[in-house]
Amino acid sequence: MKKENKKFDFKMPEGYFDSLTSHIMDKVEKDDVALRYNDDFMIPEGYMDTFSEKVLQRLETEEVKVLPLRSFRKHYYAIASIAAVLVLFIGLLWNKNNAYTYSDLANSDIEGYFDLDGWEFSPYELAEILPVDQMDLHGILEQQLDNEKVIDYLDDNIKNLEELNLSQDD
Amino acid sequence: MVEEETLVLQLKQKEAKAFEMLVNAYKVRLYWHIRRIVLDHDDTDDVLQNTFIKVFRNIDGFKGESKLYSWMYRIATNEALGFLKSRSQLQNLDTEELMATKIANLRADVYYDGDEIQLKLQEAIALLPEKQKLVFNMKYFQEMKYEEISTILDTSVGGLKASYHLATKKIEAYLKKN
Repeated sequence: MKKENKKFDFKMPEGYFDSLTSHIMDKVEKDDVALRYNDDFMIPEGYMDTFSEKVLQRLETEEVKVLPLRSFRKHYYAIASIAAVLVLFIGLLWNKNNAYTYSDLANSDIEGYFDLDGWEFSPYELAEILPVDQMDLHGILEQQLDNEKVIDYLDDNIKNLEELNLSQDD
Repeated sequence: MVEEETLVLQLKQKEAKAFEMLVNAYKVRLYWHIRRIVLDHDDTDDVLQNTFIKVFRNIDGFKGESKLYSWMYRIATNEALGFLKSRSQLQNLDTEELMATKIANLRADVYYDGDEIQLKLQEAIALLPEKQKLVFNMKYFQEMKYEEISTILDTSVGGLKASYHLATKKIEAYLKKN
């Protein structure tokens, strides 16, 4: 069976190509407007045209100077060690005649000691040891929860935040 | 447009043409994203340049776990927020005071064409907490989908919806009051 050699006969609307150029130019102009305007903000004319060149040039001219740390490292460690020894020595001499008592320790130091050593005191036991009446609780009691922090907390701890129906808009 | 994987490979080989293609593909979107955060054109220009420089220098660290544009958006966001923080420190202001100054300057800005209502809207947005401001700008002005925003801000869609809801309520209240 012979295949028919069909010719397709497409027809163009009259004057199609005459208006094509102006349609394209209209679109280019609209795109240009969208490029330069975004609601109430504007971009200077020609800014986007020269931007990539500006960035590439900056990349070419900027050189990151890397200091040769290797050679300084030995000296740095030596100086740091000597300084540490000196500070320790001076500190020991300074406090030679001062005997520490419990009143010299900050409450935070005492709390930190219990934490580090893994002493498993309950909050009630700690309250008996630490002078609670001297602690400033105003900051804790008066603190108001920030909405963003609440949302972040819920986000981290709830599987499906949407079940809370917090939002109405999509 | 070259496939993303191929482009990333070319970028990692520091090919200038690939980088130029990347800049041209994303400069407009990133510009408006940054502009909505820092408000004026000159600051946006600085941050946008720094963003692309950072992208170029850190492209080896891009593992392809997210889309390239999400990664770039994240860099742009951090650069813009970092810019505001350092500017406020330099001027010895907190971020709120800095944003109030920037809003006040908008009125006389040659590249700002908003009316009084639009200016009030910018004021209301500038007063939002950081995350709410970002979510609002990306959802309302840039019309991004929550899923896209989620990959950029690394927050769940539910969390974003909640943030957007709170942001719109605050803006509404501010506009009614002022």
